[in-house]
Amino acid sequence: MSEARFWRWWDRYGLLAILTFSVIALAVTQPHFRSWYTALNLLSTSAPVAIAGAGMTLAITCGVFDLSIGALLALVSVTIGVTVPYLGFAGAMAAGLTVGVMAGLVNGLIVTRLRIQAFIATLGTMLLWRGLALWVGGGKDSNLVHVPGVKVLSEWWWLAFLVTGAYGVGALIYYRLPLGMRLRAVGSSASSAWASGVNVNAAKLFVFAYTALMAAVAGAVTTSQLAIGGCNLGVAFELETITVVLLGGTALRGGLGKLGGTLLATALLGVMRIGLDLANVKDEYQRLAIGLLLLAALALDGIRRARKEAA
Amino acid sequence: MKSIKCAMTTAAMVLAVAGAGCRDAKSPAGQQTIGFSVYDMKYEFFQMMEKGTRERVQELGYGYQLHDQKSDELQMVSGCKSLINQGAAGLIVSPIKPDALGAVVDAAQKAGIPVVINDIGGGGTPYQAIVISDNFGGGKLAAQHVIEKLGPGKGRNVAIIKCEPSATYAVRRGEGFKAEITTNGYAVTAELSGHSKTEEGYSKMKNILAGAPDLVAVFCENDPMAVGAAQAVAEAGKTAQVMVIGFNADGVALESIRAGTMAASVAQFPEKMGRISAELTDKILKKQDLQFDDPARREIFAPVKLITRETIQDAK
Repeated sequence: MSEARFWRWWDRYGLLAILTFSVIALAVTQPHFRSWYTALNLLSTSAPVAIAGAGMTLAITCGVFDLSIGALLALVSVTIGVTVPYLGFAGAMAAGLTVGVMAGLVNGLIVTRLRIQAFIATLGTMLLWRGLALWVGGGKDSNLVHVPGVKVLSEWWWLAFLVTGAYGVGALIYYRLPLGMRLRAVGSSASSAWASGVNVNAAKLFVFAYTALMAAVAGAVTTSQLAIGGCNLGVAFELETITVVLLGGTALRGGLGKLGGTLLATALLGVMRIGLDLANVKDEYQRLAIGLLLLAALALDGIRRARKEAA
Repeated sequence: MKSIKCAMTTAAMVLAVAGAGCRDAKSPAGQQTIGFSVYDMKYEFFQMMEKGTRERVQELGYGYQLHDQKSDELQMVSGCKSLINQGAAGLIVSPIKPDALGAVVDAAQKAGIPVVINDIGGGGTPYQAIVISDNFGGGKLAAQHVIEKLGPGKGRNVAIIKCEPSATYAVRRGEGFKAEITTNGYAVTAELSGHSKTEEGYSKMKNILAGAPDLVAVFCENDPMAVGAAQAVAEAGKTAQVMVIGFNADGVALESIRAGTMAASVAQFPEKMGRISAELTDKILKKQDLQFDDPARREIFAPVKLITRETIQDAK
């Protein structure tokens, strides 16, 4: 196999190969890993990041970032916690998702109207959403253990449905709709996209609202799993989400998104965590292992680009 | 012009607020005053601590002066310094940022004022004493509860979900639990960090249950993680099999205990901690000897109590 062919193969199947290798290695070495329970664990512990990652992939494709999704997750959770006595669980979910989309629109408007960079704008709204969550929740988590139906989204079929839905809709937008083409165009070069008649602001506004909606769904799932309306949830959630998006092969410079890669990278991180936990590996070594994996993945990409440029 | 006016108004407001924060002195002439700089009066924990401090300080015949740091490191330093400058005889601090205490303790010592730290940490400064909950003892109480309910532990597995390794006081809770439970024959099969977060209490517990389906108890070093772990146990249908115990008796954990998803939590008593800090300051001012629980770190332990469904009314 020539080098060029190898890299083409690697682009397509590299992550899948690493994931398969990890699963087999863990299944051989860890007796407890070989059970259905592991698959269900992977689904429940990875679903929030997977769902938010589907939104973030489109945002980074479009050349923007959203650092506020972790704080938004908390705001959505608190909203559900506060409204559930009046609206019931389904109604509170709807309220939470509405707050999510509105927060995304605010992000989008700040970036498009006030011309503030996405990184800085969402760094600001990250503090804002967290502050709101703490204020609305009175600085305390509310326990929803008595709310009928609160645990429904923690059931595996719901999680499977939501993850499939997030990636199905994401793929539809990215591959089938003209909107996907526009997002990629804006991400590659906003000025060329604008020159060729793409409404850059509309594209960005959409992508912020969509990313926030996905984060809100992740917030609803987390709320259901933990049965609390928690104002301290989602700390560093945005970093974890951006990590899986980049590990999945989406280009940080914009223009190229890999939804399947995000999903595989989420699964890979989830599988590694389960493996490390089952082996009772200390926290510091867990961080080391995951940090090294990330660096290795990104270094591989860097080496390859350097060789391409040298050739 | 407008911006200058705005800046001046802001400055005036800041001064007014700073002044107001220190105008709580209730000391008649000639009476010594003890100042307390509190972490943040927004939290119930510190409201209780303030109540205990204030009442005991006044019972002991001192004047009392309160300063609220409002979770702000700069306010902590400036507020403590202004308590010192106003001639407080003793200073009690529950610091928002122990690492920034250096300047405060330094200024106090130059003025000949003793500093007693209440909770959080002393930041390695030469304070006279620090009051903290008996974290190690609290962990032991949790273990004793498991032993009391389940009997001797031969062949039985338990797990510990820890805070981050940098949380030095919280880490003692797990150590206390481990010491007591292992001497009674139980095996600690998993000891993982949940970084003090509810989400990670949940996900770590899921993985622990995958590795140890026969688990009988889990001790979490704080309540948010215990609340998350309890949900993971419930999803596995093992609420009756696995005792989940947390630490701090947070409101949200008490509800889980009432609902039966958590077995217990170890309560701290901030009001009692406040009273102890007042008594310590009094003893130092009267040049009496202090009885440290840990002389090397100048630590005094405040009592803790195990809260179960039966004793839930003791939590407040």
